[in-house]
Amino acid sequence: MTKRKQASKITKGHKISLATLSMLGAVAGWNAIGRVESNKTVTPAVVIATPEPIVAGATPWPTIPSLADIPRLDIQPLPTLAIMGGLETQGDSLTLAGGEMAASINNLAMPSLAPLPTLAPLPTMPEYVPPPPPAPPSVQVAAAPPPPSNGGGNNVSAGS
Amino acid sequence: MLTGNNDDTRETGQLMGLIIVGSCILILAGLFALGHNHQLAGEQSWLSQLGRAAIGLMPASLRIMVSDQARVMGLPLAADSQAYWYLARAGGVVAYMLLWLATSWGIMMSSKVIKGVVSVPVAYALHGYLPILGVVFAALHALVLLGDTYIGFTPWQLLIPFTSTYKPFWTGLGVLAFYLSVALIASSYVRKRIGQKMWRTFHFTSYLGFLMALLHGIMAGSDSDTMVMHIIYLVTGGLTIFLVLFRMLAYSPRVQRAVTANRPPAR
Repeated sequence: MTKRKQASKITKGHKISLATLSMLGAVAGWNAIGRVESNKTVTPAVVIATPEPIVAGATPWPTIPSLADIPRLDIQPLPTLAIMGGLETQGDSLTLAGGEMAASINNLAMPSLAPLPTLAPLPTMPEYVPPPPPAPPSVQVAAAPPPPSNGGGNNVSAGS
Repeated sequence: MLTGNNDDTRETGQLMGLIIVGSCILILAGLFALGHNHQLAGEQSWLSQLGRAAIGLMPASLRIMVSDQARVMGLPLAADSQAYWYLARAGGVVAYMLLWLATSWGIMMSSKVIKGVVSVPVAYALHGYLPILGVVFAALHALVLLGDTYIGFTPWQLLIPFTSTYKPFWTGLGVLAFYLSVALIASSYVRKRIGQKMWRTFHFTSYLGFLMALLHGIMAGSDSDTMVMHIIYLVTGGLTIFLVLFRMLAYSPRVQRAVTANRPPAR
């Protein structure tokens, strides 16, 4: 048996082992790549669920405005029940704190809502005063006639 | 002695013939299967039906596990299956690893690192076998890519370098590395015809072939950005560089001459 044949017999096992290992490696790699790829497709959903780190200073935190800055609401008092007048005193009496008021429950008038606030009364308008009639045209008094002259006009006699 | 040599040559020739015929039959069968399944949906694919039938024969507990694994691996093989893409990537990595092993084994043989650890005939036989296995897986890597519909490689794009639509230069380097590996394997079988010097000179291009395969893997591989592939490329590339430097510095002819000159004369 030549050396080459001996070597061929020895290496036959090595060759089969190498080929098998390579095949197994290829299949294992195929499986590993498939697993990595299927994980890649699932990963985005996980990424969405994970909160992202907040970068400080990029955006100011939203703040609650102070109460002083909030415009005060014009809160109207709740309308309250008011006892209407016209109660009649009968057998049953109704005692109220701060005073006694005899009143027949039966005759109690149905409470009504407080009158709605009304607008303040309009300021009284000043009574219309018609303007005074125009003054009548002034009558010119005729000047007293000059005293009769002596015929000489304005010449005043010196007297003789 | 002469008869023994003739027998060996005849046996090697027969073995080579069987390997070539077997490879051709496998490639044709693979092409046929891919061509058919490439056009079919998962339910119609005869390969998937065959697989389902095989899974059906298994015990129930094993059936669930195998079905789960098959789903992860993109099976059944059909037009829209991811299995082609996954297998092509895995095949490419295995082919690269085998090519690296072949290159490193060759450097270690020539630098006598494995001297005494592995017998010389076994070392030579493995050095001849590893690149063949690598080329088979590289062919599988390219062939399976034809089934993938995502990039849509055509046979011409895979056969002619730099014609691919996907990273043409880096894919082309892979095609060239494949052709160079085939040529290097073939040159070993015609070593006597071409002469030792010519063979040796041509054999140095195996470094170039490995470099092209490495660049093809890094630049065109879709898994290059993963940690596992980073480690693989760093370890294989680093070890190859180390072995080459070791070979150049420690076992260069000048160093060998110096060692021989300083050796004390035998009495």
